[in-house]
Formats: sequence, C-alpha cells, structure tokens
Amino acid sequence: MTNEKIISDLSPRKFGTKGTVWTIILVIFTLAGIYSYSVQLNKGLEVTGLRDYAFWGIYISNFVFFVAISLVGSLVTSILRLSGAKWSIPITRISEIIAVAAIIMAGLTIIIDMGRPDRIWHLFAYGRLQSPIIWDVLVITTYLVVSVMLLYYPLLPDFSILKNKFQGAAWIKKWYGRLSLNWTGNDLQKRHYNQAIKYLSVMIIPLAFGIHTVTAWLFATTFRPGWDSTNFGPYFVSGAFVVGAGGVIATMYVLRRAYRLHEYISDDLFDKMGKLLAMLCLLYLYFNINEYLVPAYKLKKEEEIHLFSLLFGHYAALFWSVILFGLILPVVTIATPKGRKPLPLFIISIIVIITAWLKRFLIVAPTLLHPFMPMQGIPESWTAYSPTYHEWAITVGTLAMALLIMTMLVRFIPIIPIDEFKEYLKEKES
Amino acid sequence: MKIKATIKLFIFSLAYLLAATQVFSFQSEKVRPRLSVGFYNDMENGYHIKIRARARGEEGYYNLTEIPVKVYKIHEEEETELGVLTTDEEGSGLFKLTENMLKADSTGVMTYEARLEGVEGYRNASSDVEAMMCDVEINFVERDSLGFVTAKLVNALGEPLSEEDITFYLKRSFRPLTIGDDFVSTDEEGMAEAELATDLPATLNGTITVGVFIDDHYLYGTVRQEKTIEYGQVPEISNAFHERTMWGTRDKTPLWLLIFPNLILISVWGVILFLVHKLYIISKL
Repeated sequence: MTNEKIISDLSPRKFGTKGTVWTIILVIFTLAGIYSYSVQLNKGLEVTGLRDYAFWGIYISNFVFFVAISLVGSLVTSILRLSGAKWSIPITRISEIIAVAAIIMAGLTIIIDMGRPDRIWHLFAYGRLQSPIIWDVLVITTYLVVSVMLLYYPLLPDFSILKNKFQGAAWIKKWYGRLSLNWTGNDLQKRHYNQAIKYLSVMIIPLAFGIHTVTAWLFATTFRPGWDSTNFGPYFVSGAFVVGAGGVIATMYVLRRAYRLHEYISDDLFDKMGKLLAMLCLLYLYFNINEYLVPAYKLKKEEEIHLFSLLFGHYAALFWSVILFGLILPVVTIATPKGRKPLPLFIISIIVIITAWLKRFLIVAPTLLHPFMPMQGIPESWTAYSPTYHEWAITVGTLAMALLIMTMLVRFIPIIPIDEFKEYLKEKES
Repeated sequence: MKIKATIKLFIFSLAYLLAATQVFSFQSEKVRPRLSVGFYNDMENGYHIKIRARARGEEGYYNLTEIPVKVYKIHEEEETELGVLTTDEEGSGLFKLTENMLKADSTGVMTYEARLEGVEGYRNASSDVEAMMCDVEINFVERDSLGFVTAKLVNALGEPLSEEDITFYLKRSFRPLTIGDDFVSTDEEGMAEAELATDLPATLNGTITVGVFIDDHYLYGTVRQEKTIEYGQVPEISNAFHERTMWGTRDKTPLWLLIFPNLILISVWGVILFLVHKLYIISKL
C-alpha cells in the first residue's frame, strides 16, 4: 500500500447519490424536529406528555443516551490507545466523531427539555455547587472541549497532508491549510504533539467516567425507588461502554461500505470489536443483576411496586426485550466466529443501540410514575406517560441532527487518521 | 222542641270541636325551644354569657340555628334588655358583658335571663343564670428548688373561695396539660397550689403559660384565667440554615465542596489551556 494510495483512499470525498439522499433525509428530520420545537417553545411543555407525575420523559432518556454514546471516544481513542492496541487506529477518528456529535446533542437535548430555555443563564447566575445538575453542566462542558481537542489534535498532520494532496474544492484545501497550523512534522512539533496526545488520552478517561457517573447521580441522589441506588454510577458507565461500542461498530460498517475501506477496516477489526462488545455486554449484565436483584431481595414496599411494574407489569415486555435482545443475544451471537462477521455484527450493534435507548427510557419514566405518595386532585391521565407526536418529532430530530453532524464531519475530515495509519503500517512492515 | 235543642247542641259541639282542633293544631306546629345559659369568665372573651338553644325532635335534640335570643339583666326586680344575639350553626351564641352590665346586687350576685320570644314558629322560652364574679390571682413561687404555681380565688365581695375544686393547667398548642392532680381544693384563704415539673417545655423565650380552670360552678360559672411565667426548659432547635450544608443556599456551600471540585476544575481547565497554548506553539514552530 503506497502513501499515495492511502491518501487517495482516505481523503474526504464528495457525497455520491446515496450520501446526498442520506443527508437530505437527515436534514428533513432535523427540520421537522426544529419545527416541532418551535411549537413547543410557543405553546410550552403542554404539547408534550410530561405532567406532574412524569416530568422527565423521552427528552431525558435521549439526553442520557447521548451522554452514554459519547463515552466511546474515551474507550477507543484513549483506553485502547494507551493499552497499546494499535489495531484500533482505523477507528479512533470514527469514535471521536461519534463522541463530539453525541456530546453536542446531549447539551442541546437538555435545553430542549427546559420549558423556559431563556432562563438557562440562571444556571450560572444562581447555580448552587451543591446541585448535581451544576456538576453535570460543568463536566459535560469540559468533556466536550476535551473531545473536540482529541478530535482536532490528530487532525493536524492529516490537514497538513490534505492541504497539499487534496483533490477537491480549493476553498476546502485552503481551510485544511489554515487548520493544519503550519504542521510540518518536524521533531519539535512532534514532541509537543505527542505530549499533548498523551495528556489528552490520560485526561479523557477520568472525564468520561466522571461525565457518566455525574449523569447517573442526577438520579441516584434522589430517594425515588428505582433511582435510589449506589450502583448507578458504574451501572451507567458500563451501559455507556456497551452503546458506545455498538455505535462504533455500526458506523464502521456503514463507512466501510460507503467508502470501500475494506483494506483499512478489516474483518479482523470487526472480530476484535465484536469480542470487546461481548465483554462489555457481560459487564453491563453483571451491573443489571446488581441493580435489580438486590432491591428484589430486600423488597421494600416502594421498590416492590416499581420492580413489579418492570419485571411483570406494564413495562415487562419492554424490559425483558431490552435484556434479551440488548444484552444476552449479542453475547450469544458474538460467541461464534460467524457472529463476529461484519454484517451480523452490524445488525447486532443496531439492536444494541435501539435497546440501549429503550433502557434509558426504562430508567427514567417508570420510577416517576410510582412516587412515594400519590398526588391529589390531578386528572387520571397524568398518572401515565405517553410521549406525544411533538416529543417524538423532536427526539427523532435530535438523533437526525447527531447523525448530520457526524455526516458533515465525515464529509470534510478523513475518517481514518492518514498519518497515524501510515506510521502504523510502517511499524507493521518493519 | 227537644229535637231542636238537640240539633243545636250537636252543631255547637261540632263547632267547638272544630275550633279546638284548629287551635290545638296551630299550637302543635310551634317548636318548643329549650334554652340553657351559662356564665363564663375567660382570657379570650372576658365575662360573657353563653346561650344554647335546642329543641327536641323525633330523633333526639337538635340545635336551633339563626334564632334571635334577647338577653336581659335582672337587677333588684328591674329588668334591662342588654341586647340580642343570634345563634350560630351549633345553636349557640356568646354575649359579651361590658362593665356596665356587671352590676351586682348587695349579695354580689348578678342575674341574667335569656328569652326567646315573638319568633314565628317557636314557642316562647326563657332561662336564667345567677352568677357572681370571682377574681383569680396566679403566681409562681420557688421553694426548695422546686417551682409551684399558686392561685388565690376571691369573690366579688372580697371573700376567699374556700374548698372549691380548681384545675391547674399548662397551656399548649392544642390541648392543655393538667398540672398536678385533676382537681385541687382551695384552702380557707382561697389558696391552692400545684408543683411544676422541672422538664416542662417552654417557649423560645423561656416562658410557659399556666392557668386555672373552674368548670361550671353553680355560682361562679366557668372560669379560666392564665398567666405567663418564666419557667421551663427552652427546647434546643437545630437550625442549620446558617450552616454550610449540601441543602443550603449557594453562598453556604460546604468548604470541602468548594475546595476539591474547584481544584479539579482548575487543574483540568489548566491542562486544557496548556494544550491550546501548545497548539499555538506548534503553529509557530
């Protein structure tokens, strides 16, 4: 594989028909979401199914989902890099793109959930450091900045290559030049670069653990049955690793097919990621058992009602589907070599992502529908939660927007780090 | 002749019977009220009369509501109308007695009468009460490191009320707490006392309100007098409002929460700024 071939294969390309259609579909869904949000802004949260019982619904489920999937950046880019797993180099950029897109949407989703987003400045003017919400704001902001840096730093050598070798539009080439910050790859630059990458890789791990632990504490610092658990931090983090890994696998497959990157994203990579996913599913299953078995053993009255609705009641079908298809099925399928082939793994990863979203819903909504004391003088309909059309449109819009951000990043930046991959091949050959 | 007389007698009897039936039926439609009057002396309303109007129905007694009852003072064969009160939904009414309504006779006795008269649908009824004012002087004494509440009772003629049963109580938010025995008898000087427990809860000012209660005396009516004294244990109320707590306001953040998270934030953002600076250095190299 020559340098020229690598650069040619990995340079960003214009979208073909499929890419354009995909982008248009995403734009349509995003615009539909924006329109529904404008209706919500105008009429208030009355247009949602949120009421006195379920004051958090699919918006918060969405928020937690985005925070979870953003953890993949730290998993692949940092943990695997620091542990010397050079095979992950082709997927580090994909992971960082997913992380940045997800964490941006996590921040926006929280604002969408606010009935009065004009009061967001109150967070800074009146925020209390004792509040888990403030911790979440601080850690999400910090994680976003570090994720962007972790995406940008490795792009320096790639932008430098592209400013000379890019075959596309001149204005894009010009921007590559500007963003490359005069990178020439001399020893001094490399020394600073390597030091920065090391700092970033180390720093992002506790940040990633922190962001999801603090998000878990938004729930765990309450007394509500189903949320009042010291297990929530690691439970959320392990779940985030699962959905993050699933997200990477799904994106790997799509991009490999779309850009014909079979030489770079090999079947062996899928095999390794599959094993990683299986291990993470088992870990998450362990935390699930902790989360439900211990309260089921003690069976405090309030927990009993909540657990019954999850395990045998209204949410039973959804709960067991999530466990079966989201955790057990992946492990069983991936256990076989055939299950670790790209297509089966892609299907499994899509199922993992969907069930992960549903799991977040099961964490948020059922607990709220079983308060300690029933509320008096409210309509019967408020004791149940059913998302409205507006909520679904906005939620789908946010998902579409996340995919749109990823699509735009894929359009303009190399999906696989060119310079790092060249170095990796050089090392492999030597 | 005989037949004519008989017919006349028959017609007359019939007419009499009819008239009598009308009268009796008219009279049996009217409610027969039962009035009860009591004389009261308490801290809230001073001297007053409480009137209760009831009637007997098929299922027992029931209250007569919204009924005007006139109150009279009978003084040496002279009666003076003091006013009118209207009974409430419980059939009761309270008539406050002002100073000029408290004129007693030579024996110190006052007589009041409540009358229900001229009210359509009701028969006339009345009830009276004879009462004498009495004065209760409450004090606090300390003896042998023990606290006692004392009461001295004298009537309107200045005579001590001896061998009268009174109740000492501690005033509380809902129900009073009896101090000592349920009933304490006054001595020949009209004095009685009760020992105060050392652990009585006081207000935040360190005071308690003690009272004396005489229940429905045949002459003095119902008496309730109170006095606030400095006694009792001031409760220790934990008020964490001014402390630095996790549930406090933003200016009362616990110090450990101020220090450590801010140290972490400063460190992390310091590194971020350092890395941004590195980008600048790289661009210059």
